Amino acid sequence: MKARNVGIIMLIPALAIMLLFIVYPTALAIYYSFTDYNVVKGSINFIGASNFVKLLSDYKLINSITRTLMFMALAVSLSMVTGIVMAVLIYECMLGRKIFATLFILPLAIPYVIIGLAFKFMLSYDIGVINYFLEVIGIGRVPFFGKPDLALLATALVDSWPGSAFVFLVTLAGFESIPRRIVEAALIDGASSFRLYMHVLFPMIKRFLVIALLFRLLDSFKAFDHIYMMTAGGPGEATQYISIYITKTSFDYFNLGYACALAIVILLALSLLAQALIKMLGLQKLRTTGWR
Amino acid sequence: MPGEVFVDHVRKTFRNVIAVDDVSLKISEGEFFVLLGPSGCGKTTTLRIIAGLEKADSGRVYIDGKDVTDLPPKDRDVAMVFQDYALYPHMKVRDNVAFPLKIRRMPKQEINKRVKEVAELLGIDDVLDRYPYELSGGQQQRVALARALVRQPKIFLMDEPLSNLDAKIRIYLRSELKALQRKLNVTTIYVTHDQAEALSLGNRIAVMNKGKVMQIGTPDEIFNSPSNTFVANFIGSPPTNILEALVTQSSDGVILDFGEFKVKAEKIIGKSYVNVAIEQYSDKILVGIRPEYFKFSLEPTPNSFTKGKVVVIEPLGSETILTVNIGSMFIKIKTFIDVKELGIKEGREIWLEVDPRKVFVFNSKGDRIYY
Repeated sequence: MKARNVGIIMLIPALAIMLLFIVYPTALAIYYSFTDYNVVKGSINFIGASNFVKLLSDYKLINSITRTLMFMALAVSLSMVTGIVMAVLIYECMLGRKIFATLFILPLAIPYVIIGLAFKFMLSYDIGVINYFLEVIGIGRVPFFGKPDLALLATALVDSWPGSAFVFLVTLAGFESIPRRIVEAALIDGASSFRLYMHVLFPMIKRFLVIALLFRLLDSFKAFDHIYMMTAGGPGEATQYISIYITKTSFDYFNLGYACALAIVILLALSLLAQALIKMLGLQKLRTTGWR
Repeated sequence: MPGEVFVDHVRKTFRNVIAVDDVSLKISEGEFFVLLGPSGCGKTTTLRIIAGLEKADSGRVYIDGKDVTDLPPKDRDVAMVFQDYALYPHMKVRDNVAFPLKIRRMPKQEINKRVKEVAELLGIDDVLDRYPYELSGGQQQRVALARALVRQPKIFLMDEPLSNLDAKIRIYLRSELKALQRKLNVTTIYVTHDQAEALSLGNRIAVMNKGKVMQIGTPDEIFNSPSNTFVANFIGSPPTNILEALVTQSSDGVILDFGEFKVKAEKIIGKSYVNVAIEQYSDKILVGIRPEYFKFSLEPTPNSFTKGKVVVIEPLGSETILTVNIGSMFIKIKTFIDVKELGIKEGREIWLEVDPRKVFVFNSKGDRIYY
């Protein structure tokens, strides 16, 4: 058998899976997005681009996008800052390094549903342990899921927990990839800790930070499990982020055609965002520069 | 007096390994001082303690009389060049060289002027706008040197700066480095495992082994007057032949018994040695003879002390290394004589003699016996 043929045969399983679980559903979604497919009625009629026209004047969608962006800004910046701070602490600290690193990474191993469930109870107004302590120290109970902005803040905080673990992991990997000699050279050249980080360490791990940021942006954009667990979009539509809105449209209002149109637009937006980030942050250039 | 270094009884252990064992060095202003030794001998650790990158367990380090033992590297006014150059990969050559000045918040104009000067001095002014990965190893090392020079520090520390370069560039840069150091007259402490580098560069050399300083001296002293068998063995290529001998008296005078042969002491070691050997080391001594100090002939002469069989002939261009077998003993001889012309082939027996003035005598512990 020719080597070329072997290669093709080896590709078949992966290709089959991709066709079945990615290409086929996407194609189906594109098809549905041009219909008024309603799951309950079971009717399916081709209606052209009217789903996409409707989308332009959907105030719920605009609200959802605004809230999503606010949520993203909060969740991403929070997780980037805490993740980087934790990485610096671990990089600087020699004692107990392994233990703390493991603890910091732990939230990544917990399914988002569990995280959502746990925080739903911990942040609960009546029975939440966090509200219990807030009351004990005199601040009083806070209705985290009762007020729109508090709910947004609470979801962002919870999302940034596993998020910062991820940022921590990638940032620390970046630091560890820097040869010790370079740090020593900078120390001898006269760099203080602050300047060492500003002029040498952070610039050298730029692409690690870029990758962390990229993943965090995409992750928070499509955040669903834990948010749905905690607020299911509420109160009102305060935390009805884009993924929750799409889910509700298809499974609460059974308007699958319209939901598919939403999903397609989001997919396009996400791909554009990723492309723009990769370009903006010069990942291609870094690839050719050859330094490790 | 800028640039005087005093290392005072420094000790350093890593877990259970003693890296630096009670090392004391006094390096004077403008001196090119070399730390030489096999890998793991503690020379790099010593350098790093002087730099402040490593903290000594005990002992002090003084620079210009000031105790710097507890100061961080940046407050010691030392510059360092590393074996793998340690250039900042994300900065252009210009910014690499300017980095130590930028960090000191020197005015831009002054920085540009200094960078230009030092770049011209080292011949890297045409690559200032490139990144380190675009340069050859030799160029990268010049950039590393420039980065060290630009600050005009009190002391240069160099950790095997030429080891990663190929042989030709290494020898070329070596002489350049020497000329540069003489010109700038900055105290330089240079770590290497390469004896040729040490002998050619150093004003003085400290030979180290297992964390201890074995000998400090000029290249001439280190080569021609090693104070123990380690230094005798480590310096020179091939290494010094170290032969064990029992000192015995007979009616003929003092006899050295090498096991495979016995010989009158005067033929091998100087007369004054003979007396000392008898008085103090009546038992066993070690005789060190450099390969280049043997003479040999095809027939016995009045001075020849034994014969041996040539087992290997290694021609190295201008010189030849002979391995001579005497019973169970093997001796290396280095000669500039054309052995082919003499008719010496592998298997041929030759007679050996030495100039007793050129022979080192050590006690059974390996320390030089002086008279």
